[in-house]
This record gives sequence, structure tokens and C-alpha cells, in this order.
Amino acid sequence: MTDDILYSVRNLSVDYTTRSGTVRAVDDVSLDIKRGEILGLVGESGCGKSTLGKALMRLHTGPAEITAGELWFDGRNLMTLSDGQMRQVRGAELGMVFQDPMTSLNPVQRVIDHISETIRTHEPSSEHLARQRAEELFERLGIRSERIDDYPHQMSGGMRQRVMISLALALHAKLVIADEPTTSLDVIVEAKFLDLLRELREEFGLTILLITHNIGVVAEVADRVAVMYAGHMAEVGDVEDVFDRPLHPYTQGLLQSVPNISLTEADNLYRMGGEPPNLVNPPSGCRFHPRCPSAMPICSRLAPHLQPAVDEHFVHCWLYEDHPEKEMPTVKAEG
Amino acid sequence: MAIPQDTAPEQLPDATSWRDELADVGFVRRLLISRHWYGPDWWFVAISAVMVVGFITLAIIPQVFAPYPYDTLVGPRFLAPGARPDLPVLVVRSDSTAKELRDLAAPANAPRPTVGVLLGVPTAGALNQEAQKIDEQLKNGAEGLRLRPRIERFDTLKATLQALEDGQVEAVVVRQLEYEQIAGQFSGLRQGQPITGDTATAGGFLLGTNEIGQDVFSRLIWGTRIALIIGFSASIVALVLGVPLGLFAGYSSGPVDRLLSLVMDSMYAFPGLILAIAITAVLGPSVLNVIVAIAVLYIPTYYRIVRGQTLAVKEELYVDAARSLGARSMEILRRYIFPNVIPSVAIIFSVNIADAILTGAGLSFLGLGLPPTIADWGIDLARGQRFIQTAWWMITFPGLAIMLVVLAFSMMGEGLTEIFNPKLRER
Repeated sequence: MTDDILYSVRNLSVDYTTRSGTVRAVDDVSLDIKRGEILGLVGESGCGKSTLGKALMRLHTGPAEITAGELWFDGRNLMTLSDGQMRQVRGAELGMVFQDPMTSLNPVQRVIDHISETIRTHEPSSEHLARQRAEELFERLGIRSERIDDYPHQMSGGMRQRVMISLALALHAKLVIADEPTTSLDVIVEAKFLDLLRELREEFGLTILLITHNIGVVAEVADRVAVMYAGHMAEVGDVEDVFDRPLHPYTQGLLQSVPNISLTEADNLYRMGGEPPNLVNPPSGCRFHPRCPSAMPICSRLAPHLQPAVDEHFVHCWLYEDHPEKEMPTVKAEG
Repeated sequence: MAIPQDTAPEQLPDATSWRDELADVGFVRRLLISRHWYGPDWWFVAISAVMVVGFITLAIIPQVFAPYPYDTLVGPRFLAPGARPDLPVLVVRSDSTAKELRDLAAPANAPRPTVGVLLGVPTAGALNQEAQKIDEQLKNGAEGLRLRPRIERFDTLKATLQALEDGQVEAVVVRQLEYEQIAGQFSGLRQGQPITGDTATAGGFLLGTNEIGQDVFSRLIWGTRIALIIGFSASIVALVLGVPLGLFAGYSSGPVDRLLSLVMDSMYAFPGLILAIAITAVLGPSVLNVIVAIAVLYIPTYYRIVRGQTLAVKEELYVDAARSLGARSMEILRRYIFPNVIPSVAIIFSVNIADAILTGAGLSFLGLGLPPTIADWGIDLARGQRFIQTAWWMITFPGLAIMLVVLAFSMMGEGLTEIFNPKLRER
């Protein structure tokens, strides 16, 4: 494991126990997050990206459970930590920003209490010092420091999302997992927020995992992108590589489905055939094969592996992997 | 690198100044400017609040409002509300200087005064008793006066009064109301003071007296105290036990939750009063036992509400967010879940007090729970029901009092629901 990798997920599986059976929402996923990068994690609703995000912090309770895998964070396997040790890691080293800023702050607590509580959970610090630090953070994030005593409902969505960021920054978290942080913000606030993320990355050396279904957001801010489909990692690579030369048929379809202003009335937006699979009873082999335009006989029988097609560009598809049973020749992607 | 400034339109100082001001006002003012007050229900809360404050005042200082102690026999039995007691009264000739019985006292060697009474009515007994009492006091006095009246009995009231007018007796003791009816026929006579009892009771009793001569109104006011003590204490005990159990069960939601819910649901399935009867029957009569019995009855109410709310709040994003920041479970319960659950508890608390008062009254009506020496509406109801055909006031007024207190607390609970939590309107 090289030193420039901050978080390394190895063969992670997360199961949900439901009435209709066990749902493997994340199936044997491996992923590396490099120090100081913004990694975009994209995929359809229900593909397991939020589940993966929560699993990285071991936040799951109730029906969800991590059933296999290792979570190597900064040289430690988080799976081996006790609950108490894990609490020390959460907030201090791993931060999370949630989808809906409207509901991710406690409505009966002042903003300052959120921050000072976070600081004092992890460090012995006086109320006064915690407040000072919170004010500095607010100043830095562009919130007037007198708003620090407000209740969450007195703030706008963008401000609340910045408060959430400040909670993660209060203790200098190394990795911030942002789970669809801009979904409920309008485009102007969204753009400002993304700018802020980039600035913070440079200023604090922050590593950010940006979970979103918005391809445009990823293209805008991310360095690398990981595409998930039905609990599997479909494709991982540099944003430019993946978006300019998508290898996986799912990524290709996904990119063609993005609405574009230059689209004329004559062009129809690409619509991917079929429906996302039911994960209680997933398709055999590659989970994408029922919807795949270039499916082969082997796709329905065996699952491919996530392999580098070109350099750092990983893909999970039989088109780019050799197998004795395969009838068609393996495609060699041009570098 | 440009620092993003706080200049989104809704955050401009001018646009937000009124909001900042609104945030700065105190709790009371915010309560007053709450827009629910402008709805049709403001009077609802206002009336109930006045009633509740009134009842609490009565419970704290009943001696200020009650004319008599609750356990003293102050008047005749079964006196209707507003009716005057028919006291034995002294009647003398107009030329006599005597005003009350004491004025008839004479030196020990002088002849004893003759006092006439009507045959077959208890005035003679009262006269004897009072005269003896006064005589005892006079015996030790320096004037050497004694009061030992010779009692002469007559067959009719008219004959008695005629004897007085004729000078046959020095004074007569007759019933006041009977005398007043025929006083016009005897112009030479003058009415003195009643010979017995507190002259203050001569005007009658506001809500009448009960079967042993206690003042119904005073007992009503003293009864407020025990009603509110039972209502408040039982509700507080139920709250103190039910809320933490509900929080714990809702948050852990494991086998402990299932077990606790089973126990609570089976308690809830009992008809309330029956369970309370069973508990007091086992524990025996005392105020504390009544409180315990009623509290046990209402623990499931708090448990169920709090558990349900906890289950809902637990799934809120801010709880996840708190956990992602490394908060401990206790901290999440205390700072995130509890404050978001407590408003609904406050509302059921008020309605619960009303319920507890009702149940307490029911228990003592059945003769269980409170010891009979306590002034309690339920006990008064139980005593009054035997005389419901002759003394309606004995049972009507305690019943009204119970109804008013229950109404006041329920109304306040409902009103607070409307103001604080429109979502709970269905409950």
C-alpha cells in the first residue's frame, strides 16, 4: 500500500436484511482514495453509493451490516477498531456532509453548540476556545460570525451546508465524505459550494469523497471518478479519461443520458433500456448484462473483475478482460 | 483566492433585520406573537389558563377562600344552599334590656328567671346547654352573677309567646324562622340574638351543609388541594418513569424494546380504573398509594408516545450527522433526541393531570385509596349519593368541581397542542 493512498477499501460487502431477503447493496467493492484528491462517486439512485459512503465511517446500524472487507484508513484497518475507538476516528479524522442540509442539523440546538460539542467530544477544550475556533471557521467559510448563535432554521440551505462543512473541519478531518451535498441547493449556491470545496482542499489538504448522481458536478470538481452500478464498481479512473473515453457500456450510456443544452429537438436524449436490477435477486454474472448493448454469452455466467484497462483506468467488464471461454476478442483500449 | 461573502439576497442586513429582532425577543413575547393566537382558539387557552391558575391558587391557600375548616361541624345537617339555619333565638318583651341569653343572668340570691320554650322541639336542650356554659363562666366572675333559668314548657308557639307578653315568663327561646312568621301578631315582643352557635352561620351556607353539618363549600375548596396533589404527583411520577423507558426502548430497539413494549402494552390493555382499584386494594388507603396506583396506570402513555417519537427522531439526518461526528449514544439521547421529543410529552402531561384527577376521584368515590378524614371530592360524592333525593347539593357541587378542573387541564393541554405542535392535532 503506497503512502499516497489515504483510504483503501478492500472487498467491502454491505448487506441489508429485509423481509424479502438479504440485499447486498455493496458487493465486493475495492476502491482507493488518494491523499488530497476529490474523488467523485456516481451512479443511479439505489446503486449503493450512499451505503458505501456510510460504510466508510462504519455508521451503519439496524438492518444494514458490513459483512466482509477491510477498511484501511491512514494505516489502520477500521474494521478492527472497537466502537469507542471508532467514535474517536469519526469527526476527528473522518467527516461527513449529508444530503439534506435542512435536516442534518439538530433543530433545537444553536449552531455554535454543534461545533463546540464536536470539538469538546474529541479534545479537552474550554467553551471559550471552542467558540473562538468556531468563529474563525465561520469567517473562513463566509458566514458572518454573529450568525453563530442562530438556530439552524434561521439559516439558508447554503449556509447550513457550510455549517456542516465547518463541523467536519473543526477538528481537521483528513477525509470528508460528502453525500450528495448539493442535491437540495439551487445552482448558484451549488456552484459557490463546489468552489468552496476546491478551496478547502487546497487550503487544508483535505481529501473529499463526493457522492452524487450529478455527472456535471463530478466533471466540474473531481480529480477522479468512480462509477457504481448495482453494488459493483463499474469503472474508476481520472475524470478526463472516464468522461472522454468511457470504457464500460454502463458509463457510456450514463454519459449519453445527461441532458445537454446543445441538444436540439430532433435529437432524442439517450435512454438506457431496462430497469436497475432488484438486488434481492441480482442477475447472474455481470449485473449489467440484461441492459448491456454489447452483452456476450459469458456475461450472464461469470462476473468480470475490476482490472486496469489503461494505466490507472479500471473497468469491470468482460470486453476488456481475457477468459478462455470468451468468444469475442478482448478490446484493447487506446491509451 | 476569493473568500465567498455572505451576500445572497435573503441574507442582506436590511432583509434580515426583522428576523434578527424576532430571534432576540424573549420566550413570552414569542409565545404572544405566535400566529396561532390569531386563530379562533386563543380564548380557549386563555380561559383554561385562568381556570388552571385559579385552581392552583385554591389548592395552595384554601384557608383564605374557605369560610370554615373542612372537618368542623359548623351548622345544622342537610341545610340547602343559601337557606338560613333555623336557630333557637331569644325573644323578650320590648321594654326588656336583654339582648342575649347572658343578659338574663341575675345575682345568686335573686329569684331565678323563668324562660319559656315550646314543647317537643330541641330548643329546651339547647337552652339548657348554653345556660350551663354561661353559668360556668359567671360562677368564677367577680360580680357574683349566676344564670340558672327555670324552664317552663308550652303546648303551642302562640301560647309560648302569649305567656311572654302576659309577663308569665321573662323570656322565651323559640326557633327563629317559626317566630318570624307570626311575629306580627305580638307587637310587644322583640327578637334578641340566637342562643347557640356561631352567629356568622346565621346567614346560611353558600352551597349548603352535608349530612353531619359540615360546610359543602369549604370542603370543596379544601378538596382542590388533594385533587391537584394527586393529579400532579401521579403525572410527574409517570413522566419520570415513562419518558426514560420510552427513550431507552426506542433508541435501543432490540429485545429490550420488545420486552418493555410487551409489558407496557399489557398494562395499557387493562381498563384503567380496574388496575388502579387492584393496586390500591393491595397497598391500602393512603395518599401515597393512590399516587403510586395512578402513576403506574399512566406510565404506558408516556412510554408509548416517547418511544414512537424516539423511533422517528432516531432516523433523522441530524442524528446520523451527530454520530458521524463521534457523539456517544448517551449524548445523542440527551442532546439530540430528548429535546426533540419533549414537546409532545409536555402536551400529554397537561391532559394527563386531568385524567389522573378523574381517576383519583373515581377511586375515592369507590371508597378505595384515600383515608376518609381527608377533604376530597370523590369522598364527598360517595357520601352524597345516599342522599341524592333529599340533598342534591351534596353530590352536585363536588361533581361540578371535578368536571371544571378536568376541563381546565384538558383544555389547556389541547390549546398548547394547537399552539406548539399543529401536527399533533389528531391525538
